[in-house]
Amino acid sequence: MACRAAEQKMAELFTGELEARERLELEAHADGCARCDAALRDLSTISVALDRAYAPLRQRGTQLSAARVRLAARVEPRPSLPWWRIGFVGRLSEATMALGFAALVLGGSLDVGVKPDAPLSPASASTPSIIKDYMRTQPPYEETTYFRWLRLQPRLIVSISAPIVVRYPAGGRFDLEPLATEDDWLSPGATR
Amino acid sequence: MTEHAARRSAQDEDRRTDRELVYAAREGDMRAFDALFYRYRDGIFRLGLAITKDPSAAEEIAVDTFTRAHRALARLEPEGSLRPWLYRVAVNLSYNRRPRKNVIIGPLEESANDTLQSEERSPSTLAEQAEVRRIVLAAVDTLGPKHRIVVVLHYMNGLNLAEIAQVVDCPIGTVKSRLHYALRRLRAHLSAHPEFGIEPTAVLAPSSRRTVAPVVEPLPGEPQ
Repeated sequence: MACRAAEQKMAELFTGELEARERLELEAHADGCARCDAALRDLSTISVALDRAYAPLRQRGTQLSAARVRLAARVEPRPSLPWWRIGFVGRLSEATMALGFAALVLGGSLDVGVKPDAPLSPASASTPSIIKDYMRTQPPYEETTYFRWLRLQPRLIVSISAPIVVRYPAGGRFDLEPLATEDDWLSPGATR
Repeated sequence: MTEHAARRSAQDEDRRTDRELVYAAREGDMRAFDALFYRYRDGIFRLGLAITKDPSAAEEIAVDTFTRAHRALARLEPEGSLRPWLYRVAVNLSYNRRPRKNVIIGPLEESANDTLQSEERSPSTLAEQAEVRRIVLAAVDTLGPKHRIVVVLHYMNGLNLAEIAQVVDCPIGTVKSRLHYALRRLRAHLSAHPEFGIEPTAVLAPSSRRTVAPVVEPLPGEPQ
């Protein structure tokens, strides 16, 4: 065996691919060749050292997710609908949006229908509203309008001209109906 | 889909061969492509890590490799395994990658592994081992890319000679020669360290063992 062939066999030996018979041949050559003998011995040491040096790294892994590849490759998720249905629905929604936009533009520019000066609706003027009535009967803040308003309030004037009835407390209580007797009040069957 | 579910589904599809997965992915089945990713991501990550020494760079290399695989799905025709193709892309990406600035790259060591061993070995033994490992990996870094990749692919990724030949795209005899040459270069480097027990005299090959004539002739009065 030539030294050149022995080198090739040594590489196979270090990767664990040398058959036993070939290994014997290699060792037989190394016995007669000092250079190959030293190489075989030293390179085996180096090979073992390399194997040990890389041993911790061989256990390393990564938690990379396939989603990163999808993101980098810009892979879209597969559509679940067939293409023609997506196409049809897409065209339909586009047409609907176009129609709506056209109606908006035309309605604004043509000024058809609603006139801003006209009352919104006649029914709204005649509907009774408690809040509106209340606000209408409230006295104004300014003095002149207040007195004008005061004169125009018939009920109030009547109530002012009417004799003022002062109710005094009866029986120690501000009450309209004084108790008839104390006995009634104390009796168990008394109705109040 | 969560990571766990993705991995489980990827494991479910493990029975399919690479060729079947590639054909399924070509039809748009991204789960098949994910299965390929989960099958080879660790190997590619380690390969990138061994060359770049930067875990985040190695992850980017893994992502880039599979992005290219996805782009090349239409023309991929794996006869056996997709691994040689993927590794070749990863090797090219790793070597073409410009090292990032301002990144302090720590030692490529697995701390968990060290703590596992610490129960049975003394700290000084561990420190010695770490030092030997550091010296060996530093010596590998001095090799040229052609020889370094052969060493990394075998000792790190566990590829045999035929697989390495497929990855680096050259005859198997060339791979053997490169591995032998790499080991000899490493022997020359490591003979300076007595831990390895390599005699420095053995480093010189017989072909290079020749008498070197002095470059400058000594002056008449100069002591020899």
